[in-house]
Amino acid sequence: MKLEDLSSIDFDEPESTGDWVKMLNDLLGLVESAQASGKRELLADTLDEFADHSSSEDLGTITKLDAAARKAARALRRDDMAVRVSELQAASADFQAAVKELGAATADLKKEAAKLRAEKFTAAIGSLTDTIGSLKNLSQALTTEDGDKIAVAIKDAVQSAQKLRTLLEKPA
Amino acid sequence: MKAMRVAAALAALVALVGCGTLPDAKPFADASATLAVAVKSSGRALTDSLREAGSATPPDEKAYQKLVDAFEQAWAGRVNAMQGVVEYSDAIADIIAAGKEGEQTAKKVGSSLEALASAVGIPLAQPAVGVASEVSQFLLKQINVVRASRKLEEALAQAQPAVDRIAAELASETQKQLKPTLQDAYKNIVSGIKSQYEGDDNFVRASADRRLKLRERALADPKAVQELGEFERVQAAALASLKERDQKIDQAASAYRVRQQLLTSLSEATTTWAAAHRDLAAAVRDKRKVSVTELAETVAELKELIRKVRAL
Repeated sequence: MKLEDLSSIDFDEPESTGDWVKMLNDLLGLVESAQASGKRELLADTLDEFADHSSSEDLGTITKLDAAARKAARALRRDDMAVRVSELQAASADFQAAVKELGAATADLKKEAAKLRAEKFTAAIGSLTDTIGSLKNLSQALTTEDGDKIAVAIKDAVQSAQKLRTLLEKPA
Repeated sequence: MKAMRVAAALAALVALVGCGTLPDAKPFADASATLAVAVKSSGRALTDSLREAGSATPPDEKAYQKLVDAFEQAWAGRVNAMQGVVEYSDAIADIIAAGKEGEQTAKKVGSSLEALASAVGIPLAQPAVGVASEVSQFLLKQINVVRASRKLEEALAQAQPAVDRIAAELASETQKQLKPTLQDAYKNIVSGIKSQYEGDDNFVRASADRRLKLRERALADPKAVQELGEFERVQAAALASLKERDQKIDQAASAYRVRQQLLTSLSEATTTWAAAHRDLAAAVRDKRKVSVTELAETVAELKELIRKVRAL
């Protein structure tokens, strides 16, 4: 992200807490290049906007991210350089602490995700069994040359295949 | 013979009207002094109001103290400039009261103008130095024109472009220095207020979907109604908290508007003072009464705004 991109940020885009973390990380990364008064003001306003728009069900993390964003915004508006630097350091430390906590929580989430993937795999196997059963019926219907039975068997086989595909494509 | 006497009397009357008497410039000097007092009071009202705003967000109090100190320092420069305006106005009033019209008088006007530029903080370096700003070069040139004048009315008329430029510099300083300081302070006050309510804000935003789901569940399962009720109570508390936040933000916005208005009026008052100086020069030329009505009205408006800022 560059300072020129600030005016075109789409705050409706981030979906997960991780997306908000990435966005704030990018914004705080611009502090160094925002030394001139006008640039500092633009970045400060964007950081406040970040806190205005950010949203997540992980209330603890998102509130900490917002607090860090606002602290950095206020720091950027300080005329006194020493105060500005000191407050920016504090904001950066708050951000890092929030990310660290999120990282620990994410490790637990990863375990949950692995469990979900296993459940999905079991469901897929079940669906695959149904699909194979439908295909067997289709094969038997084809040997009997009964038109109606063939149509029904083809319909069942397609539905089972679609169900399997949906299950496999569904995100964990 | 009688006709000749009447003609002579008429000629004397015309001569008298032509020469006329110089106007009393004291009202101009008095109005300038009142303006300077209003500027000083404005600074005090603004710094007090900023100090109070800073105390609304305790973690930022120290930073606000620094901001208030910087504002006071910037204002001290403005008070000095206004003191210069008063001294210039007094000097011009004294020169006019002395009733002399010669070259020496013009030189005095030039010296008073030079002192005014110095009080406003515009160094009048010689052009040879090569580093003088465009404004200081302009003023220096104009002061020399004033000094070379042969009559008081000419000196005052030639001083006008310099007075206009000095007033414009003061107004521009307000725009460039004081208004951005106030704007940053306002934005930080709002950011600080929002920070205090961030948890409630995030809860309310994230809870919209949850509430819908709970309502759907409550429709299908009466046991979920209690859960929905408890959830809505928590949500109502968060919403009440956000209402309090919004009231504080509205209050901060109103205060900011009044402070900005005061600064704008101060800039306008400086321009009005320059206009009063123009009227004074015209009054000296036309030998008529000096009018300071507009300047007096502007100062009255300033006083009203100062009262509003103090009431914040």
